Formats: sequence, C-alpha cells, structure tokens
Amino acid sequence: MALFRKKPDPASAPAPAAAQRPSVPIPKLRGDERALAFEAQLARGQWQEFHDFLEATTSWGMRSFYATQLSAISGRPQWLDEWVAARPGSALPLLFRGLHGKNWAWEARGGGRAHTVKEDAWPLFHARLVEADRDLTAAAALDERDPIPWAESLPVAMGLSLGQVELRRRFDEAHRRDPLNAGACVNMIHATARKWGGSNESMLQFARWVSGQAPDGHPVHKVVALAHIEMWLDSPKGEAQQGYFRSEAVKQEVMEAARRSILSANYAPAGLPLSWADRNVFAFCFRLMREYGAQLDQMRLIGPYVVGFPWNYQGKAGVKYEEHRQHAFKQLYGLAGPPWEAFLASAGWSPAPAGAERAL
Amino acid sequence: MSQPLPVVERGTIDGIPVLRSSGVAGRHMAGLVFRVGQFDEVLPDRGITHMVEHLTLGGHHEAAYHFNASVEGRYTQYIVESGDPADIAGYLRAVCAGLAAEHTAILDRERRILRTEAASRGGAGVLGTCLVERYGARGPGLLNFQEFGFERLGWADVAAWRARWFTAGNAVLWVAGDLPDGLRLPLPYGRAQATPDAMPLPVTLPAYVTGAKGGLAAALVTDRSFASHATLDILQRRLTQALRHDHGLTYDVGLDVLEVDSGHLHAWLTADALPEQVPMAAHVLLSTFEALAVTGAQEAELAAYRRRVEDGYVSPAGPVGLLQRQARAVLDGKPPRSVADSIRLAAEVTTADVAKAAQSLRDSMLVAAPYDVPAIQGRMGRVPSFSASTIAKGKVYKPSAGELPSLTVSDEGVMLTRAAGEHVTVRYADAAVLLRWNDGKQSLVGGDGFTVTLDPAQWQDAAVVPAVAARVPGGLVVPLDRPGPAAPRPPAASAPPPAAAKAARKPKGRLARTITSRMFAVACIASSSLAGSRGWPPEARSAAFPRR
Repeated sequence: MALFRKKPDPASAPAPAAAQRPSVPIPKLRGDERALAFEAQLARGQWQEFHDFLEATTSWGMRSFYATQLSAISGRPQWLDEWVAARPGSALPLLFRGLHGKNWAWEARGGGRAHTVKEDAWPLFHARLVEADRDLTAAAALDERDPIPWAESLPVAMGLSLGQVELRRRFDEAHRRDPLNAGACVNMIHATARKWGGSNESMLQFARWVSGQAPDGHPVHKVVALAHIEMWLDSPKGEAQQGYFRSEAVKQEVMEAARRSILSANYAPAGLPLSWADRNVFAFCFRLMREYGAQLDQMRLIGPYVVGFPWNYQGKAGVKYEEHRQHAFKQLYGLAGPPWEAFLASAGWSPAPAGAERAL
Repeated sequence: MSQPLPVVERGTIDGIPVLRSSGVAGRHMAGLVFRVGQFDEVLPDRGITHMVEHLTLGGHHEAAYHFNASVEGRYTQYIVESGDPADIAGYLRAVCAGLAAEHTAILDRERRILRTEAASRGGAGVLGTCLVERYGARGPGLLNFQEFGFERLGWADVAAWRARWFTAGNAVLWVAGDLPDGLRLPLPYGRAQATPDAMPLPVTLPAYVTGAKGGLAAALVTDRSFASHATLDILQRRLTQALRHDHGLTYDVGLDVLEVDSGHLHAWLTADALPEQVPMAAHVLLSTFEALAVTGAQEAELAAYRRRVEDGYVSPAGPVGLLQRQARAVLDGKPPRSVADSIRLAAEVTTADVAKAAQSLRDSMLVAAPYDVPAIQGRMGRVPSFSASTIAKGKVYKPSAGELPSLTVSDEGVMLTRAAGEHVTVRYADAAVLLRWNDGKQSLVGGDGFTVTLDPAQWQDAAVVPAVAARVPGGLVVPLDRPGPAAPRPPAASAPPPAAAKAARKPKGRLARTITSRMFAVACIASSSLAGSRGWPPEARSAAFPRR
C-alpha cells in the first residue's frame, strides 16, 4: 500500500491552458511549401492554378490534404462563388466550397461542447452546414469516383444530427470509392463516438474492423489509436482517465496498430504531410502510455513537422509538445532535453520548415 | 385510352344548377353542395355550419341506402348513394325538408352529439397550429379552435345562418347516374355567396413550428394550376421514394388538400418518422423539395403524371370527382373545366413549370417538427413567438407578486409583457373572441391568433380583468362553463431520443414563448378539426384536384 498518495501525472489528463511556457513551433499547413504557395494565391483570389493542381492530383489522400487544409479559411471569401460559377461542370470548386462551408460552420459554433455554444450561434451553424451539405452532395454527383465529398460530409452529418444510419451510409459511399479512405475512417471514429450519438463500443469495433481490413503498412491503422484517444477523453476525470493509457490491453492494442503502420517497414503514407499527422497521433499515445523511448523516436522522425492534433486536447499544442518532450528526456535520462534546435539537429533536421509558427 | 371520358350534362331544377354524368353501372350517387363552410364562420360562432348540417338530418336517422353529410372549409355537402334513383330523390327531399324545418326541439340533443363528436375527434393538432400561424383566428385559421358555437348559439342564430347560406342560389346538385324522375329541390330563395379570399398574416416564410407528433409535416399554399398539381403529385412520389424506399425513415408520405378560397389551396404534406429519425427525415424532405425546385421534374415523371390524370377520369371514382370539382367551380362563379381541357392543361406542364411551382411552394412553407431540428433550423427561422406590435401608452398593472409579467391596458387594447421585448398584444378592434371561463379567467384572442389570458388572482388590481372584458363587444363573448387554463406548461411534445435531444437544444426563453404565444391558444383552447365527416370515402370529401 502506498504511504503517500501518488501525484497525478499532469500529462495524463487534459490540462488548463499554460501561461508563457516553452513551446515548439507548429508549421502552418504542415510546412508543405506547395500548400503555402497556394494559400498565398488563394488569399489573392487566384484559384485557377490550384484548380488545375487538384485536378491533376490523382492520390485521393493528397487531394484531400490540400483541399481540407487550404479550405480552412476564416470568413467566406468572394472568390469561392466565382470559382464555382467559372467551372460549372467541375466537382472541385463545389468540393472546396463545401469543405470551406463545413469549416465556416464550425467557426460559427466554436469547437467546445454543446453547452458552451451561444444560443444565437446554432441557427448560423446549422445554416452553414446545410449549405456545405448541398455543395458536397453536388460535388459527389459531378464526380462519381471521388470519395472526398462523402468522407468530408461525415462531420456535416454529425453537426446536423442526421444519425448513425446516415453516417454509416456516407462512410460506405466513401469506402466503396476508395476502400479504407483515411479521411472517411478518421471522421467515422469521431462520428461513432458516444459524444456524437454513437457508443464507444461501436467506435472501437469500427476501428478494429478498419485495422483488420488494412494491410501491413497502411496508415489507416492509426484509427485504433484515435479511438483510444476518444475513449481516454470520455473516461471519468481522475484516476480512470489518468490510468486509461496505462492499461496493458490498451497499450498492446495501440502498439500493435503502430507496428502495423508507422513502425512497419511497409509503412506507406500517401504523402509526407500525411505521415506527420500519423506520427503525431502515435507519439501522443506513446506519451500517455509512458513509452518514452517510442515517443522520442517518433518526435525525432517528426522533427519540425509538429501537428497541432492531438496535442491540443491538452491545451496549447506547441507548449504541450515541448512539455512532453522534456518529460520524456527526464524519464529516460534523468536530464532535461536539449533545446529544440539542438534536438532537431541531433535528429538530422535542418532549421524549421517554411510556415513554422510559434505556439499555435 | 379505351375507356370513354365522362361527359357532364348541365340543367336546373327549381332554379338550382344540376350537373349529371354517368356513374358506375347500376349505381347512382348525388351531392347537394352549398357554398358555405367552416372558413366562412367567425370564432364565437365556430361550428354553426356543422350545427345546421346535423340539425338538417336530425330527423333522418336511418335509411336502406348510404347517406352522409360533411362540412369542409368552404363547402357543405349532403351526399347519397344507392342502386335506386328513387332513393336519391327521397334523400334530397328529406334534406330540403330538414333545411326548412324548425329544430328547437332537438337542438340540445344535437348540441350534445356535436360536442361528443368534437371530443372524440380531437383537435386539429399541428395542422391547426400551422393554419393559425398563417391565417390567425380567422378563415382557415379557425380550424385550430374549438367549435365555440355549440356552447352559446340558440336556434335563432342557427336559423339566421341557415337562411343566409342554405338557399337555392347558393347550391348546386350533382348526380353520377340517373336523374330521378320527378326530382324536386324546394330550397328557399337566396343569392349566390362569393368566396372571400383567405387573408394570410404578414409572416416571413418559410418558417417552422414545433410540437408535431409522430413525424414531420409541411404546410404549403398554392394556386389551383395544373403546374402546382403536378408538382405536389411528383413531390409526394419523390418523397415516398427517398424517405421510405431509399432511407427507410418513413412509412407513409401523405398529402391532404384544403380549398382555402377560390384561387388557393392549402396542401398538408406529412411524413411519419420515429423520434430519433426526425433530423434525417427533415433533411431528406427539405433536400428533395429543393432539388425539385432547382431541376424541375423529369420527363418520365411528367409522363406518369399525365397518365394518372387521364386514368383518374376513367376510374370508377372519376365521374364523382369531376362532378364535385365542377359543382364547386359553379359555386365559385367560375366556368367548369371540361375533361378534355383538363387533360390538355395537364399535358402542357413542363419541367420548368414544376421547378417554378416547387420554388413557390417552398416559399410558402411552414414546417412542423416535434422539436428544433438542425436541418430545419439551418434553412428557416421559427415563427414569431411574440406580437410585432405593442401598446405604447396605457396604464400598467403589476402582478400579485414580482414585477413581471406586466399588463398594459389602454383604449386600444391590452399587452402582456413577459420580459423586455417579449409582448403579446391584442387590440379590441382586432379581437376575435373573448372566452369567459367560470372561474373568473378571461382569454382574449386576437385576430392574429395571439392570446392573452387574464386571471384576476394574478393581478394586484383584480378589477382590471372585468374592465378589459367590458371593452369587448358582446357578440364576441363566449361564456364557457368550465375553468380556464391553468398556468400553462410547455407543450408536451414527444421527447426526442438522447442523440436528437442534443440537436434539439432548447433556446432560452422557450417557456416564455410557449406561455404567451399563439402556441398558448393551441395548447389550451384548440380541439377541433374538419367537422362533419362520418367516414365517407376521402375521394368524395375533397375534390380539389383530379383524383389519381
């Protein structure tokens, strides 16, 4: 029996916002130079080159990356409608406007739980979701092959409370076009979670089904880790939440998912920006599992390409990332970790990538 | 088309227009139709046409043939069906005699029967809510309210109403089958009564209401064109395909039509759904509607529609539907349309016509849902919960306890204020009825349907209640031998499931809106629906459109 109550591990639970603590930069648009260039063009209302690029991008994963990342624009730019009007036969502007509409809706709502949303924000949130759904439906009709409108309509259906049957239908449509489409699988993890009207059991069941279907090296094994993050978030505050990732069963299942994806010799992400997202998810889980070696291994591979998710579940992502990096060094070596730049250099990374920003 | 189209012959009997066509071989059917119905009434007299209908047949209880009568929005019909034309003549003779007789002796008995009928039938539900939101407490909006006339009207009132409306000049007879030998229609002299336009309130549409049970409904208003007819027909089929067959959300997509005036129809589109399916059902319903408004009908849908129209005329029920439509046209002072013209007009409906009509229908839409549904809230606003107008100057009365609600009384009317900016106003000049309950409470219902209920116990100066009541003309006062409504509660809509409940986040102040809005009238006062139906087949009760 312990004589002293063990201090809770501060990293094992979502924490209040940190104040002016050391932080690592989070590169904008995952530091992808092409995305940054397109962002600058779009800010000037120049969508033509981006349209051609999307049209030429045959990887659904990369098309999804550029479309979803670049559509996260605050407010509603006028050129969106101009683009739709200028290319009436193309699904791409409708897809992009639909993605933007989805983000714009969540901008009105805010990212907090329902009780934090202002009353007058609900009609606006719902109106924008309805518009987004119209655009995504039209995009899907214009390009029968593209899974992205279906995959990205899942958060829209969640916001409109369309129910689990409809969510499954939309997932199936994406899956039919692109089996194990990463965007659809990730969105479906959130969609089947208890907080969105599903159940955590069905969410885990879905994650295991996806992983069971995916070959060795497929990035989509990550959904198992994502499902456990959702379970962790939904655990009762206190010991249950702090201990969630230390359960042997959870650790084994997450580690097995990692072995089959980012740790596999066959690991084959559709593009580098997508691999950063995968590795950040697993590094986060490894931290909560107290697998510090594995955590630092991933942080070395991630290098400067830190992604805000899922670190932002605990507060400011850059701050939490640095805290966890330091904590891992202390636990492994009993010493503070090297400064960020030295850490990157030791891992073979040159200075911060384009778009790097402090403490997002 | 192998079957011959029905041909309508026209004549007169005792000055009454008669329309005749062949019917089902060996059977004969007739309807004596008057241009009067529930929408012609005023709220204190609501049900008076129904009283006339019952009293007319008060002495004609049994017969070896089928007979019935019904009161709809703008028409009252006495209907009979038999294999013997002599039965037709006998029934119509009894109707005419009943319309001429004095019925004081059976008035109380029929009053009790009518009240029992109303109680067993129940209220108009959310259809009534939609009608009162659109039309207020007048015209079609009257369907939302009880038949107060049963409570207060005497024989003299009923007789005066009968003398005004149930006359030879305001009647048409139709016969599907043989015209009986020696048929007479001894009705009193009177002139034709014009059909007034239903006057909608200035409500921003589309909009939604809550409180529906068992699924969703959409209240729509349209002109009587074939484009609108085709649009509703195609819409119902598309919704059945989408909601039932594609998504498994609905058992039945229904469509009922009310004739609100001579130029407009009120369509009531319903889709049942389990509580947890309502958000998706609403999204599919509205998306389907929007798609039709954008792209119009497909040629195959129009071809199928044309075929249904043509088939409708040669079906066994075809001649009856045709005769009823023509009878109503005559009563409305319009030339009856021939079958050939109808078929031609149906065939002329284009894809673009359907798109335009669907857009127009959508612009007139009032959606009824069990609770706030995201897919609805994202497309339209809720109907106003409070009066737009206020009473600027007047004496302000305080409640027995606290500061709110307050009551402002002036020479113009009364205004109940629940909170800052939340007023319910009824002007005396616009009052539709004053309900005087036996416990001292009084409910003043405005022409827009907003209601202020005053309980003397609620106010520091209890004398304000009789003072307000004294300003209302006596003809609008309905004494009711029962206590007034208790402190209102939010409507007991069926509880959404947990997932849907998240979506159905109740706005702050919902309780206040419920208490003081038109919904108050719905919850506490309404209880009536279409009067007079005794289960006659629907195709004989509504002939607004050619039957399918």
